[in-house]
Amino acid sequence: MSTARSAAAGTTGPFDVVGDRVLVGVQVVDISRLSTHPVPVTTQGLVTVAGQGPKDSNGAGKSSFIAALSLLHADEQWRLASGASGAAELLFTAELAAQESRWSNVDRGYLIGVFAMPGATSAEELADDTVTVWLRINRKAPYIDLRWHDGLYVPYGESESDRAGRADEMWRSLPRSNGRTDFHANQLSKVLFGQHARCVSFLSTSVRSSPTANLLAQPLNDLAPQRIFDAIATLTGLDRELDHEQVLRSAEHRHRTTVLDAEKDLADWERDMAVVEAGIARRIKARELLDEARQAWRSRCARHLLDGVEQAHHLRSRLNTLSESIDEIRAEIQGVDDQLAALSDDDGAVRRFDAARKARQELLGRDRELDAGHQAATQNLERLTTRLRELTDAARTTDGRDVETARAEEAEAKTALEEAIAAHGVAKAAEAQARTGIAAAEAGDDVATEQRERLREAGVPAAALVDVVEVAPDERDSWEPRLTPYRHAVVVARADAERARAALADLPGSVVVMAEPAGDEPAADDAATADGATETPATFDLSAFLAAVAQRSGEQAVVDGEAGVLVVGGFTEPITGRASRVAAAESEHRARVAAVEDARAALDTARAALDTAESRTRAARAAEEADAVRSEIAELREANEQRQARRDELAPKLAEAEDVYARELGVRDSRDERIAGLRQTRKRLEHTLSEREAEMFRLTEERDAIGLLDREKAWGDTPEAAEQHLSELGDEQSRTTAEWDEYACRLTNEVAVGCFPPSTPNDEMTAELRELLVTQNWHGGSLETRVGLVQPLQRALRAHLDDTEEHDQHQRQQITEQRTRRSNDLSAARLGLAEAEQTARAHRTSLASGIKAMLTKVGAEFDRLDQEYGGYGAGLDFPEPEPPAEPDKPWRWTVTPKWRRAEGQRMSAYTLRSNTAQMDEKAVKLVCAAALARGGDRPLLLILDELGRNLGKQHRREAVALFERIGNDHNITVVGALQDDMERYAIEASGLYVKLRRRSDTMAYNEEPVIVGDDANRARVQLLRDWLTSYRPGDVAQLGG
Amino acid sequence: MSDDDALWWAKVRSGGPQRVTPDSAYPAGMTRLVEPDARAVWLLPDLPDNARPDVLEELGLSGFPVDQRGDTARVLASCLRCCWSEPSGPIWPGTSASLDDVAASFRAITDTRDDRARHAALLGAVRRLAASGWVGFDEEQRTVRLGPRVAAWNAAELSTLRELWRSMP
Amino acid sequence: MTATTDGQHPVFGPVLSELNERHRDEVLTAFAAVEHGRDPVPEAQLAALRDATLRRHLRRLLDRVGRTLVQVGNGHWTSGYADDVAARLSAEGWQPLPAIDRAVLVLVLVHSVAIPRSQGLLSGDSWTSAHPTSADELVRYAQLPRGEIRPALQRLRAAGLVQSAPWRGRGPDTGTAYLPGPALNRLTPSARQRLEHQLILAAAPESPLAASIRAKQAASEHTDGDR
Repeated sequence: MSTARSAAAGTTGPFDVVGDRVLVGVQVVDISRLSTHPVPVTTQGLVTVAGQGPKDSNGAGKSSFIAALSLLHADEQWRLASGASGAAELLFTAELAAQESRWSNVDRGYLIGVFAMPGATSAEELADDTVTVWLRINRKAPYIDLRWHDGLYVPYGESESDRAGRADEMWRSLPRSNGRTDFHANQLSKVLFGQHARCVSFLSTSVRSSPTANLLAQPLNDLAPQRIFDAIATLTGLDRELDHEQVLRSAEHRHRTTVLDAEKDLADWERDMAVVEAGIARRIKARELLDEARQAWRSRCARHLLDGVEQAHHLRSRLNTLSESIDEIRAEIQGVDDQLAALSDDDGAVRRFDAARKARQELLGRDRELDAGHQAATQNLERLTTRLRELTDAARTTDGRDVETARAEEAEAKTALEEAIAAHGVAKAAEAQARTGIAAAEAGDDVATEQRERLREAGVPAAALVDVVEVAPDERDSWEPRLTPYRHAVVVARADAERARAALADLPGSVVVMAEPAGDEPAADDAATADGATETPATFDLSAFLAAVAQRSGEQAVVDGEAGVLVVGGFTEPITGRASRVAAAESEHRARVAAVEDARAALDTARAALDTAESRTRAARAAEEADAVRSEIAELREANEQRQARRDELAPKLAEAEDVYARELGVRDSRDERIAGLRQTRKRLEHTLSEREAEMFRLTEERDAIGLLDREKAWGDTPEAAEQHLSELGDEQSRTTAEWDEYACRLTNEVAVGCFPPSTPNDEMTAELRELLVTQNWHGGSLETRVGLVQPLQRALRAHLDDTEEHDQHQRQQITEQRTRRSNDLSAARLGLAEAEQTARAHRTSLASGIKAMLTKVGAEFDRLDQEYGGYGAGLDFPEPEPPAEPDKPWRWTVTPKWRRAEGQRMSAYTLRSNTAQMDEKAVKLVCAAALARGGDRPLLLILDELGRNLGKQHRREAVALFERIGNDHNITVVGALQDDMERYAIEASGLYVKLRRRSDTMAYNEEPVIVGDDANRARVQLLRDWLTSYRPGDVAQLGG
Repeated sequence: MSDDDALWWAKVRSGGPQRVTPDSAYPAGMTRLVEPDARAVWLLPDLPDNARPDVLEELGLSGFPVDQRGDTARVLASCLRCCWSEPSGPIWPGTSASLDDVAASFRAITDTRDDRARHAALLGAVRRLAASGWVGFDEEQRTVRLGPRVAAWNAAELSTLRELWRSMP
Repeated sequence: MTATTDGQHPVFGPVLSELNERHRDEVLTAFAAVEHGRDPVPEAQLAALRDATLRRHLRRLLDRVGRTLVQVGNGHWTSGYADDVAARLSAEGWQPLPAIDRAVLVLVLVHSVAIPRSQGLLSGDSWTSAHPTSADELVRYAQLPRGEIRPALQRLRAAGLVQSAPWRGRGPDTGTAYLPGPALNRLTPSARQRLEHQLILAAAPESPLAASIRAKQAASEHTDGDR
């Protein structure tokens, strides 16, 4: 228990200030509406608090009063750890008092408790060992400040305002409880009561910020067995034992965490170090390998040098041989060149050949020329013979005429034809005119055609005179001459004469005869008078005209005697009247058609005569030409015979020239052949020469490429030394350079990979190595590339490995040390854990028996109380729980209350439904049982708002009696707020009766409460009251001194 | 209670009260404050009384410092005075008030500083309060309203605030 | 405050209901202390931090709101975002800090922590430091206008990510200087490590340290490929 205490206390400081003292008086300032009067409180037994408000028992602040008592006793329901913010709700609040118009909220209030030793029976004894506890309740956090004072120290004064007014100042003169500040709610329980539970309460909702699970606060069967255990543990003090167990488990947990952390740490570390160690191991291996690789490279260089020496020797001898052979070939070429020169320079032979060829060419040319002439003449002869035959045929139709006669006849025939053509044309024209005359006569358009057209357009009725007048055939000889001057006249009505003249104005020469209007009977007479010239019916009456004409005429042909005009008559056809004019025209036409026929017959005859004359002319000409052709043929035949004679003469000369030429040609061909042969030989020799020279160049290159100096430098010594070195090697002597290359590269690569595994990021290499391995592509390169890189790479790797060697060694050493240390740490942690586990287990074992003993005791008390106060027996089930699987999991005990529902029945668990009153009764009994079982060392306050809530009448009486009994028998004070209907039970059973009073709603604060002790307590109440009110500041001075 | 609830709590912890569209999120243990126009909902975590920041005072631990503590508190008081139009009713959402009204109220409860300094203090405090969700500040309209955090005050605190409200000019 | 009909807080209730009144109060108090406190809380002060059983409950309580308990040094506790929640937030692109604030914060961390640590002046993996970065240095290195840095610093200070400290360096720099703020104590071990790795990779990608971080990251990706 001491461990728990110190662990809970943390640092040393005031602890359990109140201790075994009990509350003997309480005074409040600005708490709800409570008055500031000191209220004496009796210990043990029942204290009832009643209210008398303006209307009923409510409104007098009894809930606030008992809430204040519970706060003063550090009841956990106030959530002290988080500051008891609910306490602020106890402060006087104007709104709640409906006084906001007159009062304002208070920012703070005081709750003052006077604690004295329970055994003190006089003022002196009380004063001797008293502690006055001041809680200042603040509207804002921190909600509670704690101070205290040894001895009595309470606000005093005759009036409310006296007492209330002094509170602040008195508070200020108290020393701060926690150095520079005051203790707050979270320290309340510890500082005042050493963390002992001093109070179990059920507070009404008006001052409770949230429903809490506690034995008295809610129906028992709403609580889990685990919570019932918690409640009992709190009441019996087991909670602090359990706290200790929890502390031990925390320690175990800490150890376990340490072990787990150490294990994880070690594992992580080992994983990290595995990488590091692997690197170190690879580098150690690489260092060994590097030596081997360097040896291999050295041997390779020796072998390489010796190879070079041997190769160079071999090449030199080959070069010598080649050089000699080249010289020989050059000499051969020179010989060939000489022969060629000799052959090419033979001029006589050339000349001879040219002459023979020329002579032959000339003779051949002449022969061909003759032959060609002969051929051409022969062709000409054939053509002429054909022509002669044609001409002879054509000359047969001359009819004996020569060319001249024939031509003269032809000219005559032509002239005759032309004349016939002309005659025919004339006849045809006459015929056409006659045909036109017929048409005109038929249409009546043959006289004054134009004039009549104009008049028709002008709308003037008109007609040709000759159409209007008809002459009887026997009168023709006399009338036709008379009318002839008017053959072309038109007739219009006299009335129209002016219009007619206008219409014809631009036709000069037009003759118009004006007629009388037609239809008068006398006109017929006139016609008769006109001696046979009658008008055509109607239309125009020309009788005046005809009469005038007849009158003027004389004898015979004289038509106008007065003027002396004579007209020749004798027209074959009548000139007047249309029918007579048409008949005249047709007769004319027939005569013309006959004339055309005659002309055509004459024309045909002329044409036939011309054809005959022409063919005679042609035949005469052909006869002339045939004579000329015949003489030409004779000439050609003559020339051909002469040519043949000349060719025969030429033949022997030509044969001789051919022979000479053939001989010279043979000579020339054989020489050309020899020259070609020689040239071939020369070409072959030159090819061989260039081949040899190329070979020589190549060998020289090869010799230079061996780089003997470089090889010697790489080896670093003489070839003899190299020989010596190789001879000292065992089987490896026989290795070729290629094999050595391969071997050295492989070893070097192993070293490189050892230093930098393939996945190594490039930026982890030194610049030199990165250049070699990455830039120059060691890893991916061919063997050839690698061989070139071996030496610098070995050097770089050596540098790298040398650089890292010391660090590697150091790191290895450190790793070893660390591994030892960490393993030791882990072992130590494991040991610590084992010990902690053992301690916790041992403590738990002993605690378990302690808990069981305590619960057995509570069970027994529960049974006893139950039977004593109306029950049939009760008990508790409390199976021992398994120890927690993890040290930070709770060790969870449970308690299941049970009781008999009727006499002789088996006990049934509390969870079985029953009426609420019974539940509450059992709950009260259980609380009391726990309180009784706890032992009598500490006072306990049970606070019950609404005392006897839910209890039936019978139970109420029993419950009140129970509380009174328990209180009297044990160190327990039961404080209960009374409901109206409980008052009569309570007053008789109470050791102390407090009645809070407020008569009117207009009063902000209560009046002085009524405080009455029962017979047993009356004196003590009086004593306490006197003592509490006796306090005066002199005491302050006293205390201050 | 789901993982998403934890995520919402973390978001509010990180970014202050979260404004979401109605019907979009119902994280457990959070009050949903509906905006007056019902277009958005603020998510405000409910903490038990004894898990709220005032516990720090009890324990003597320091919380996060507030710049210009006094002015900030005074400006918040002024905003409350102007925006909590009906103190007998709920504090959220209140009404919006012009910055000038708040400034007038602020002037009445501040010492005799020159106007420019006071205005700077007012603006600074309003922005700070707006950033942490105590007030809403529309810089363009120059209006102020209460932020979602005010809805976290409990009955006792509101009682005190009402008294403050009554005491302010 | 508000409670469901059975009086239980929907988030905290299930955890709290297993506890008795006192323990419940202690756990909630510790919750408030680690959640709202500026600095880590000494475990001696609070039973729920001191006691492993209650701490377990506290841890569960924090877990319900996406937080976790973070031990700082020996015997101090604070709270931080649970790693899985932080991962989900960042996967959702959650970023309450503007870019400029982050840039300024990184500068302070590099100057006050990363550089001193690389010089062996700081040990451990904590992000608190006694090497202030002056405001002038920030302006110089950030290459950002002073007018933007100042409000960023104010916001960071309000969030507890930086705190001001007197400048006691040499040279002409005067005025305020900044240290990483107490909020950095809230980083969980893995978040601390992640931050450190990111700073090293960003600040000195070619250092051997960066190489070993990459190697480890590759290895861890290899071993737990599902992350």
